[in-house]
Parts: sequence; structure tokens; C-alpha cells
Amino acid sequence: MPLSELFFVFIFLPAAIILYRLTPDRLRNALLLLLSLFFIAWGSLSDVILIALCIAFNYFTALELDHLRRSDSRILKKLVLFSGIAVNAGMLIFFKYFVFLINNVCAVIGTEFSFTVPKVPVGISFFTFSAISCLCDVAKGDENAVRNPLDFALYIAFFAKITSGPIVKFRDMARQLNDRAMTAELTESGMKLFIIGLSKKVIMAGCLGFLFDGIKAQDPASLSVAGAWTGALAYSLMLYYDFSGYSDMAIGLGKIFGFSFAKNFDHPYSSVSMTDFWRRWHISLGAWFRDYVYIPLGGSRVGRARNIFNLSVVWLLTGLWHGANWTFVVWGIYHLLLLLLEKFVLKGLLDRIPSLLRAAMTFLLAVIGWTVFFSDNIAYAGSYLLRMIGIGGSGLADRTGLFYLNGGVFLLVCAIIGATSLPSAALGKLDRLMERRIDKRAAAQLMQPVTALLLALLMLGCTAFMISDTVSSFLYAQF
Amino acid sequence: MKTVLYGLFRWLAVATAIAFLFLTGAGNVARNADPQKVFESVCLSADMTNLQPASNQMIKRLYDINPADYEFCMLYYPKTNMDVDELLLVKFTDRSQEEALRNAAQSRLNGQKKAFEGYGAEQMGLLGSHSLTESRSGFFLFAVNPNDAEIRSAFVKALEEESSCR
Repeated sequence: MPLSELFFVFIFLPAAIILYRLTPDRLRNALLLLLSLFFIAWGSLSDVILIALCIAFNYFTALELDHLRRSDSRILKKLVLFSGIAVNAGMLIFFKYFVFLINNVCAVIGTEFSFTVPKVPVGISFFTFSAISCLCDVAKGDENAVRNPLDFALYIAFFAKITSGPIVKFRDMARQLNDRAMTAELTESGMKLFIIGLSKKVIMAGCLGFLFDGIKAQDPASLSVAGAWTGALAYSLMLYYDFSGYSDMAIGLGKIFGFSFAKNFDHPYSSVSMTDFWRRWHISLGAWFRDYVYIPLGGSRVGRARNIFNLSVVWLLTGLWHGANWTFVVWGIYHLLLLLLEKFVLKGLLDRIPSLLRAAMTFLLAVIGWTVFFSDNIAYAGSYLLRMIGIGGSGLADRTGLFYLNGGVFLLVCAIIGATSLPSAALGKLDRLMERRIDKRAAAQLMQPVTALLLALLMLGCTAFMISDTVSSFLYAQF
Repeated sequence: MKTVLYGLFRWLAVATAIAFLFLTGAGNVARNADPQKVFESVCLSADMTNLQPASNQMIKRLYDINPADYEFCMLYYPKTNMDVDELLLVKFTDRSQEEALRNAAQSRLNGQKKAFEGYGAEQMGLLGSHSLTESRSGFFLFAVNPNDAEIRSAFVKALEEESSCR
């Protein structure tokens, strides 16, 4: 059940909030778990069984690791940790990458063999990473294993984050499982964030998706420069609004039920370098790879060659995490090369370039990367990139390209401005200005009805979009 | 003792998961099943007079699926707007694709029914009684054709000849 579905927004969520309010504190985790299982079962009953088995495996592995850590059996602890990671990674590989691996091996040895895997369980990339995070944190002693199986199951299967993250590390959520408050302020700010996220996802990503789909349906060989750039920009912005919107909704839902999840996006298209971009885009995934892959490999406190190797492993895995296709591998390598270039070659030079120009360059490089990302295969990506620089295709601008550009220019400009930190900076300035002119309390009182009206209008717009069924399915769900 | 018990329970969970996957059809191997040959066999049993091959763009438009996502995707659709005959064969790789294909075929069928409801008795008859949705060994078939029963038999036979399951 997507978080942006009418049933979720108007039936499931209100019912969940009311039930949660009515339930005594000690039963609230059990209720949230029950709701989460219902949420998963809505999509597929077999997913519930697989996730339950994954929970059981990780629960007992965490308990065993906790026990071994206390008894100081280092070798056994390492073996158990390794087997735990291997089972989770194996599950991910089987569902997401097995067919890709088989097809590539068959292509190399020149034979044909097709293998059907069952439907990929919902959120597998997210809940396996959560499980690995738990095992690593317990083995390292950063956190104790959760004794109550219902609490542990909630950490893995909480409906707010299971489908599309953010990937919440065990050490960041373990204590909140039994020590959190549900205050009116938290619920209010959670609802606000949920509505803002919903409108980013439903309205902005929906409209940008409509523009992108029109261009993607064209034969890339006949695209003009204008058409290709319109498509690439529309996709880049759609991906941002889609994923950051979904993350906002998940974080907002967390707040409503008393959890505090760190933000997953921080205006990535305002970044002044690729390094900066990856500190702001899908922050939870970057942090996961940093803590559980990069640092255990030695991080940057090693020689240059080893550091490059560590970064290569991280970026190869980051690329592959997004899907079983060579395009994702190429996309990962592309970002690795840009980061290496920034880190080892352009370090001093970049600081001398004006930040506005650096931000524009970073955005451009990100857009080029997304072009490979959305392509079905490498040949398509190559052909599309050539059209973007005017090689082949229909020249600078043809009728189709101009049609999409003219129709989408206002949307693209609004989307670019909205994706930067300009709107929040302007709002902050307005807040400060009002506080200076009138006192803080009066300013808050004045702003309350305005905010409520704006949120109501956004909700109305989202409902209209949801009813007209223009909502594209969540892009990151496929990764 | 505790470690042994924990170990026992966690490997029991793994064994149950493997058994569950096996029972729900993982590893449905269709070796050397050539989709082109399967398609040709199916076409031989269908009435193709009113049909024409569809481009990838047309498949996207009619079914809202991206042919590039599938190993093989072939659609024959009516030559005129007044016909409803159709034949879609897709080779897929995982169950989520199968589900997406089922939904796509269902919404295409519903769309056609909506279009002809109230005035196209013959078309409604075909859509209601001669539509076929079949999925096996990694292949998905959707057809609206007076020879739907023959198409189904041809599809099953072609797969049995072309592949060996499990």
C-alpha cells in the first residue's frame, strides 16, 4: 500500500492514529506492529510470511551476538555476525540480482537459461539494510539486542519506513522503541511534514512525471537537444520530489507515532560539489554505507590506493543497490570518478570558483548522472546523452521538443526553485522580520491560520490529484 | 546452551524461508524456451486477420508497460478501432513483473469494455467470453480472440515442447 494512496491517507492513517491514541502505552508497539503487518499484507500476504521469517532470523541472531559479546567469544561472534550478514545479503541478492547474474553468466558462456524468482518482497532493500545495521550495532556493542520480539519486529517492519526508507540505523531507533512520547506538538509537526511530503510526491512529482513520460516514450534517435534536456531535467526533479516527498511523509508519520527519524534530504540541488551533493541526497543510505562498509574497510585513514579501493567498493554497491542493471553500475562508477576527481585533483581549484557557479555545475553533473540512471540500457543512455549535446537526432529544437519545453518550462522553473534552499531561506527571513516587528507570540498567532489554510489547500490539491489517478508509483520502490 | 538454542531457532527460520520459497514456485526454470517460437505457435492457432503488430510506443500507450523492461514483449492489436481482438505475449523474469502484467491486461480489458459498453454487442461478447489471461514458466499471455481456447492449448503445448519445468 503506497503512502500516497487514498485508502492510506483517508482510512488507514486516521484509523491508526485514533487506535494508537486509545491504546495503553504498553500495548502501543504491538498495535503498530499489527498495523504494519496489515499494511504489508495489503500488497501481498506472502511478503508478511517472508518478512516474519526475516525478523525471526535476525531477532535470534541479535540475541546470540549479544550473548557472545558478553561472554567474550570473539571468533564465534565474528562467525555469527558473518553468517547473519550473509543470510540478509543472500536474500537481497536472490530476490533482486539473481536473474541479472544468471543472465550475465549465460551471456558470457553463450547459453540460455531462464529462472523465475518469486515476487520481490516490499521494501527488501530497506529492511535487509535495517537488519544488517542491527546485527553490526549489537556485535560492536553500540547497542544491546532488543529482548521483546514485538519491539524488534516493529523496528524492521514499521509501516512508515518499510516500503521506501529512510534506512534507520538500529542504534538510532532502539531506545525509541520503548521510550518515546506522543505530544500534540509532535503530532502537529508530523502531520505538517506528511502533507508537505504528500504534495511534493503527488503534485510536483506527478506533474514532472507526466512531462518526462511524454519524452521517454519518444524514440531517442529522433530527440532534439531541447527535448532531451527537458526530459533529463524533468526526471532529475521528479526523482527529487518523489523520493524526498516520500521521505518527508515517512519522517512525518514517525513523528505522529512518537519516533524521531533524521532527515533524508537537505536541498541536494543547492550543493556546491558532488561531495556536498552526497551529504544531502538520500542521507540515510550514504550514512549506512559509511558506517557499515566504508569505515569497516578502513575509510580514509589508509593509503591513497586503499582509500580509492574502499570508495570503489562503496560506489559499486551504491550503484547496484538501486537495481540489477548495468546502467546503475555505470551510474555508480560515474559518481565515484567525480568524487575522486574532487577529492584528489580539483581540491584547491574548486574553492576559487564562485559558489553559484559551483552549484550550477553540480546540478548539471547530477542531471547527466540521472540520464544514465533512468535509461533502460547502456545503449539508450549513450544515445540520449549524444542527443543532449546535439549529436544526431533532430537538431537543436524540433516541434516535439519545443512542445514539451513550452508546456513544461513554467513547471521546471518552479520545480528548480522549490528544490533549492531559497524558499526555506525566504520563509526564515519572513519569520525573523515578523518577530522583529511584532513579538514572537503574536507572530506565531498570526501565522497559524495562514499555515493551516495553506496546508488545507495543499491537501485539497493532493486529493484531487490522487482521485484523478495521475500519481506515478513511487520511483524508489523499484530499487 | 542459550547460544545453541538461538542458533537452532535462526537456522530454523532460514530453512522455513527456503521451504516457503520453494513451495511458492521459486526456480520455475524454463530452459531454452525461445519466446519467438512460442509466439509463432500461438499465432498459428489464432485468427490474426484483424490484427497488426504494435510498436513499443503503442504497447506503452495501450498497456502502460515498458517493453524494454521485459526479455520479450510482442503485441498484435486491432487494425481498426471497431475491433477488440488482441494478442500479447511477454517473457518476464520475476513475479512482480507478472503482477504488473496481470494488472496491465486487466485495465486494458476494463478500458475496452467501457469503450464498447452499450453499443458494441459483438465486441462485448468477445471481451466477456473470449478473453484469456495465462501465465506459466515465465511467460504471460493475454488474448482477446474467438479462438481463445485453441490459443491457450497452443501456448501450453509450445511451452511444454520448448521448456522443461523445474
